[in-house]
Amino acid sequence: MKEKNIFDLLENAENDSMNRLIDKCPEISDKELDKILAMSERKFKKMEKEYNKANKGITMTENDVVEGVEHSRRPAWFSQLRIAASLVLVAGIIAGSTALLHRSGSPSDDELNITPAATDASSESTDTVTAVSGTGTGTGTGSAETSATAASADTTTEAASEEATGSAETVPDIKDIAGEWTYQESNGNHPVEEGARNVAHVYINSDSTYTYTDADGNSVKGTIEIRSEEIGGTKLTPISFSEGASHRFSAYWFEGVSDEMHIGNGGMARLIRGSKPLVKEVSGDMSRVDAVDVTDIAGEWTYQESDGNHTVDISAKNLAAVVIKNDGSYTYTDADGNTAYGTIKKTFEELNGVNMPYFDFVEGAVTRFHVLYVTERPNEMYTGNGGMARLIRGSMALTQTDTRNLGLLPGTWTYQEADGNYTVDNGAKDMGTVVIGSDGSYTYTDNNGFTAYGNIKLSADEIGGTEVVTVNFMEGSVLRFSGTILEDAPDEIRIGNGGLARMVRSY
Amino acid sequence: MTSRELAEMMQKSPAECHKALVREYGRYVYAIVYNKLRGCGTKEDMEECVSDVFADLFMKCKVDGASENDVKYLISTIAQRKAIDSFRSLTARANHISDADEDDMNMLASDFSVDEHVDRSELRRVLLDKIDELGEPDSTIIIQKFYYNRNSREIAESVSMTSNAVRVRCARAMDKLRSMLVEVGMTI
Repeated sequence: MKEKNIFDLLENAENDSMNRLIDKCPEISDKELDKILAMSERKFKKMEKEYNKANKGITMTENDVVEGVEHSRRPAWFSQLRIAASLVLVAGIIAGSTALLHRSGSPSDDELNITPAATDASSESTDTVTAVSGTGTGTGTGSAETSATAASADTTTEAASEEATGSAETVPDIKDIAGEWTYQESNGNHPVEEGARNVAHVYINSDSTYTYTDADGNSVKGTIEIRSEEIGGTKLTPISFSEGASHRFSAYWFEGVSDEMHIGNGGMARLIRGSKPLVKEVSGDMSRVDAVDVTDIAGEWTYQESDGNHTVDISAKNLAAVVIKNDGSYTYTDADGNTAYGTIKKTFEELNGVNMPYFDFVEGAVTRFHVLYVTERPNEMYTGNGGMARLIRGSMALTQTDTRNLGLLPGTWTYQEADGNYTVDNGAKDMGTVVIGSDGSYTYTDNNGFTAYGNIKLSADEIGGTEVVTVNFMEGSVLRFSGTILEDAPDEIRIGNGGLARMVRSY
Repeated sequence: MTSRELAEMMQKSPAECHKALVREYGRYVYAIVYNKLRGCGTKEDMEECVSDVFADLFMKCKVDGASENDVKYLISTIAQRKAIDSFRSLTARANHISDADEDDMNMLASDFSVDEHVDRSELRRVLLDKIDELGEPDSTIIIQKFYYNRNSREIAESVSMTSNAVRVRCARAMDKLRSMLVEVGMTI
């Protein structure tokens, strides 16, 4: 069992005790504060993006005055209800009209004067609308009255206006509608006019055939039939799109509107003239994908592959240097100096139920890598899911073909020098970081950001009868510095014998 | 720093303002977070939580208007709330793993008694009083060694002494503290 420490009492302290503990809190180094600042900035930017998205167009000034327009979204079921209500209303109109005609029978000379069909239709529609508005004196049947309670006021108005103008429609010629169209659907809980998603391209030929091509490139061909319908005295011109015997959809054409055809009467889909860029259907949360763009990965990277049977994070060889620019272009240079150029494309894939951002490194028609980017690990991007290859941030020495026995040397080390008149054991100052790779390469980065890299050569020496391992840090053929490791202190590389510099393993 | 001064800085350069906030209050926030997460979080958890606090603070600076209130109180409140959230999330995660062995179970079953519960707050106050009585730099050495879990080399840097001197002073101060606490009925 863990030994109880009386100082645990100080945890979760109230304010006065807390203030006493704050006074005695150790100083935090600039390096650590910079790290915290960078993490905070990253999180802040994400929060800011979400905040701006949620409060689009709304500004708050002093004195608590709010300006702007809040975009409200109707619930998804509302549109469905509107469609259902409209259908019931139309059915009510038809039933009501039929009942009226049936009751009246053939008009005789001594009854009312014969009225033209158009007038008849408009008077019926007026009657029906009266019923809808709730006066209860209309001539519609029970079903029409039922529809009145369900239908919203604006649906009623639309129906009435359609009826009023519909009678004047003429049937279009196939040439009037031939050409390229884009099939759009609403991208949310609002009509398609307010926000549309381009689902497919529809190409209408003048021989009454059409081609429907979706965002994934799937293409189907079919035939078009232009019909004329009369619903409750209103003439409509549905254009039916069919594939063989199966009906795909119908679009309603209106005279004078040459570049738009409505699909259904809920305002949720339409055909619009022209070829607009298509988008794939997206489901699920896209926040992780939207939060990332190519500028997040700009910089120098090294392409690594596993060096044997281990995953790449345990044992890697550096195969190429990859430099990514903010404009999305990149260069890939291998160990022999061959350089390839390409562009980066952001995509996404669902991973364990979450949409995750991926970057494709594309050269012409060929995709060189397809890498996963995880915001929490901004310095590495993995390809595939076996952990056998990755891109790691930074420029590293490309792998030499030989491998040597480096023992426990690979890892991160801190380079320290004595701070003042003491030896480095008693007062050390961190001067930089040395990362030793499993392939024998090393990268030294000092506190000012200066970077040097090279390879390690090991040798065994005997000093005063003690066997020591000497680690020589080479830059090309030049020896930068060397250190010794004693068997009983494997986490320390002593540099020189004055005790003024060393490297200690960082955990 | 008042929040009006903060707002002025934000207007000039948000990046510089963020940097200044972290430099000035980084240690303060760390101490608050450390106090809550000491028993359950790693160093990375604490850094994560501290960065959450500052991200929240930056957001607050962006959204809220200026006032004459000292921003320290705001920071303290955000830090405490974030640390409590983090504590809950960390302990909830830990609760899924049971590491109690038989000894623990026996202790839990037999030794728990409500009567023996004392007021932790009072004990804490007494402990801090006694540590303060040790005087400087011993009180700082003791707190940094046993509460903040710093090693002698790190403490040596903060109190401008050598690590050997820190070790010696720490051992003596601990002996002294132990006897002082025995006098008031507490044992280490």
